[in-house]
Amino acid sequence: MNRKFLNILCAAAGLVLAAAMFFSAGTFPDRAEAATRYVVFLSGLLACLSLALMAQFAFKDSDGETIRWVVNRRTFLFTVVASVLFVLLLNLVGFFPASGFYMFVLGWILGFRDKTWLLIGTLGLLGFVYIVFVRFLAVPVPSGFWGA
Amino acid sequence: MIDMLLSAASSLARPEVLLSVLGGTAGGMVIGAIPGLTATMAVALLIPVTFGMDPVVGLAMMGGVYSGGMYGGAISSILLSTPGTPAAAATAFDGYPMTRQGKGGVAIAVATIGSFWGGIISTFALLSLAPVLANFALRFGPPEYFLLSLLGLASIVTLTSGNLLKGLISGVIGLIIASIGMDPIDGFIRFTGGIVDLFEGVSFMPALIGLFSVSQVLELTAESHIVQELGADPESLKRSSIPKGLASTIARGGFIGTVVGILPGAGATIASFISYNFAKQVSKNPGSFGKGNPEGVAAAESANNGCVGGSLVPLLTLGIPGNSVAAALMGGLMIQGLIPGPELFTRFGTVTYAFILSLFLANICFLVLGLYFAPFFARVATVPNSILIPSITILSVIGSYAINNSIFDVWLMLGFGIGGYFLHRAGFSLGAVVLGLILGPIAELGFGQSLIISHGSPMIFFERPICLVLWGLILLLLLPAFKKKKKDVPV
Repeated sequence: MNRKFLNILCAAAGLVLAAAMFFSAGTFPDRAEAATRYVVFLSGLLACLSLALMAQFAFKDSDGETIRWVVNRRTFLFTVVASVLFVLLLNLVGFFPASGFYMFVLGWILGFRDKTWLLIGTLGLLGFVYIVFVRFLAVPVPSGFWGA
Repeated sequence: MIDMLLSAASSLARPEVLLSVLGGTAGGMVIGAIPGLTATMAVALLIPVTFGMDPVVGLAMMGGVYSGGMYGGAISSILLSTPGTPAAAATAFDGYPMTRQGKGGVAIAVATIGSFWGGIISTFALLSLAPVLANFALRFGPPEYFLLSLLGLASIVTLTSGNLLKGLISGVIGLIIASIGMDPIDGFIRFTGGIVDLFEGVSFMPALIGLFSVSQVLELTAESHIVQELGADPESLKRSSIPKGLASTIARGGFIGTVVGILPGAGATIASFISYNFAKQVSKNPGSFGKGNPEGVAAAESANNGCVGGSLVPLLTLGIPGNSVAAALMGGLMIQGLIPGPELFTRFGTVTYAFILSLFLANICFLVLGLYFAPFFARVATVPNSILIPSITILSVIGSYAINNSIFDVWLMLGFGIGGYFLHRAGFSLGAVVLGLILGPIAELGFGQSLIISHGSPMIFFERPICLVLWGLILLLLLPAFKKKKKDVPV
């Protein structure tokens, strides 16, 4: 996707969002007068800026610059998927097992192959979290099926 | 004021405060020295840690991280030619050539001394200017606060490095996100999609951590290492004495940094470049700049640390964060129950002055740490991304969870992180989104209350003298953008 097309697309999305906000403000009850005014103000502001962005790029020649969304697809995808699974696992197996598993597996997948240092790093980080958050701040981290 | 200053100074003498400043400064230096990890990220990650702390301890730690982070950027700039923070980019111009000439230790010493004096000058300015401005802020009513938030948004123009319209749209996106949940005047619930967790609005901290930390983590997936190896042998970087004749450059840099820092939106990066260029213009030997002139390092570093105190002036007095680190710090202040504004210098004077005085301590801390341990901090930048990525994610997860003990906040953080990554790639400014997110509640309350006072007439925003001054400032900030736009149009 080239930058010109992207900017026009963003401007169009901004206009759609502004319109959606403007029409939704019309459905607010009469008692919410201040809320309605503010949302109308925001949608007007967004519409003006989006129109200006569209005008700026609509008549401009493309500079040929393309957007590179992801530089390294493999590591990006692994990181995103592993992070989502990590958060899903939090409630299931608890914070510490999920974090240890996440750090070890993701570190390994991303190319860190020294098991000893990976283990030391994992234990060091989890130790820090335990001392600061659990002992010092008394944060009740998710304990999962291990129970409270 | 003197009473509060004395009481603040005595509260700083506690061992836990001193330890928190030292720990915060050292932590800030490490994070600042790692390219890709910013002082904003460090402050954002730290806020949940300081949540349960005494306000003085927590704020002193955050001040230490801010000062240390701003200085730490110079370490990797000089030794690795990779600026740890954007504000240290100008430092690399002469710092790295000095390292190549075997003067890495001298460059580090110049950067440390320059940063120290820059920080001291700006903290003095903060101490003397902020109470005066805070007194002035007492005259502000809802219309003025609304226009102040517009001024903050207009300052995005100077904050944005890419397309200015996209910067402004980013700010409006932040305002829109801030409008999710209950409206502050009528109590009407909007744009929540029926999700109960959103009824009180989008939690600020998960959004901040997601936008600044997780999106950065995703950027790190592009490479295996930030830096493969150090540009100089740490053993050879012993303490070095600084060349003579840099005092005026450092003083000028500190002054430039303070003034630029006070201007909303104009950050440390701009300050360091202005200071560097100025030093080059007034130098007797401008040709030596860029080839290893210590004046260049001193000018850039004194200015970027000079911004620390300067950027806190509008934050503490008017609640307008001058840059993204100040925006993150504002979150920390609010978590401690300290709403920026005139009350900070009256009702909460002791805590506020203790925070300001702790910045002096932070400067002393990085002076000592920088002179003796800077090369060792630089080694952290060589940690592989395969370790950094999961570590930062785990800290982000626990950080966003700890605020409300809510898994929903963790999902929110992850969503903001992934969304922020793509917004950034598309050329939008994440700093501006955060600025909008922070200014949203101030803008909405000011806007709503003003229209209630005026019975719906928008003329209230144009009738009061302070409002007219604020409009003038807004136009002044936007003017360069229009000029630039005209220049950009192809002939």
